[in-house]
Amino acid sequence: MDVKYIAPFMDSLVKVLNDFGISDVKRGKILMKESMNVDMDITSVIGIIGDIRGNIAYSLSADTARHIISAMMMGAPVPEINAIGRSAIGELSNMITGAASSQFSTTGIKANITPPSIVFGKDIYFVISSLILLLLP
Amino acid sequence: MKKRVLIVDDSPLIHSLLRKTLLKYGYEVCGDAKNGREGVEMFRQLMPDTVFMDINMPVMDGLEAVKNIKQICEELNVKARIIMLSAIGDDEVTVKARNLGVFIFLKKPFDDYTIISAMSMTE
Amino acid sequence: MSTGVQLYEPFISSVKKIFKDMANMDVVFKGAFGSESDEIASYGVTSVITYTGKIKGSFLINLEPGLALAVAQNVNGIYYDSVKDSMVLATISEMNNIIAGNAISTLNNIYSLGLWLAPPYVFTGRDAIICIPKIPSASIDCQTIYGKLKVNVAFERSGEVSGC
Repeated sequence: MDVKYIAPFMDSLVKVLNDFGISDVKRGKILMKESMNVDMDITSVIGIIGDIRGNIAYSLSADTARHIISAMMMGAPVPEINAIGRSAIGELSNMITGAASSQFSTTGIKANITPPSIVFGKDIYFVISSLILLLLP
Repeated sequence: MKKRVLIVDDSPLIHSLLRKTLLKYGYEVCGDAKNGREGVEMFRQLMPDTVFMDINMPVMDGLEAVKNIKQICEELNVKARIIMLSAIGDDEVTVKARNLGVFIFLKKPFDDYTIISAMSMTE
Repeated sequence: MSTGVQLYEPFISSVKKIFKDMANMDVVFKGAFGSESDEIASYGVTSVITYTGKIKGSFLINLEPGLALAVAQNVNGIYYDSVKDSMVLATISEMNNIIAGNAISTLNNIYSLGLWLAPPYVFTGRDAIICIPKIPSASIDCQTIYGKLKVNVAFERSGEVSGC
């Protein structure tokens, strides 16, 4: 998938994190891959159908995820990622998806976005067709 | 002379299964494309007799690719049979495909008999 | 519209048919679809495909590693010793694509939902959990002679649908 379609997702990710008071978003690499060993702990995958067809995924380390979950929970400490934390990441994915969807609709690019799915776990090997992957270490 | 076939599908499994069947029954697989755009480019270079075309593919989907290939056929006054092979086969999609000039619409999954019957209809 | 049986049934039929036609396997469904929590523990090899149209949703197949290897072997006629083999994962991914494609074609024909599929993905790993947040989903447990399988279907209404 063409990397130019990544902008609405990148912008939405930054905006949503800013809304939770996280302004120091350090982007890692942007990769276009078909298969990968992901050594990050959390990967969220969103599908796109329309003028473009493919998948966008963002992968977070557990530390980054805990930081984000804490911010979403008004600064509460998050010693480990439990069911509530995973739910928060799910909520984050939905917000990013929604914001990206709105952005696409203003650009004239017909892009219908599918519901996000999130995979938690270490040392996961993915095969995802036509993927743009954002790494957030 | 062996009939030359181009396979356009984003699934490595489909390429592998189709190729096995076609070679077994004496056809030549002259090209493998993994999306519609590659398929159109390969069609122009290779001029196959038959194209197996998936619908749901990245970069360019199969319906768009069929449109492009039909244009090439008109430009160059050549004939090619396009066999659409897709997991999605609702009525609206099959009608669209036929209106674009797809010769036969097959739904996945397929077996040897289905593929070879379709190929024999292209002769 | 009832969001239950009418939408799930094409997926069940499709799983049975595709496992039989492609992998020569009989899938036995244990019980009925039951509500699933947000989180599903992977059995070892899991493939997800999402779709959108008048409704949005996802379809997931979750296989034990032994079952995934057996499926790949039966489909390709080749022995595989690792679920990380690219053709094993490609087989599971494409089977998921075909199962979901057949199911949404039926739904499109009956209910004019205009559904299209995004590309599927497949993963393998230890202790993986998959979460489809905030969309009601239902799972059904299945058994084959090679191992167990779980099928999950999720739908999110977009408010445009009637009649199903």
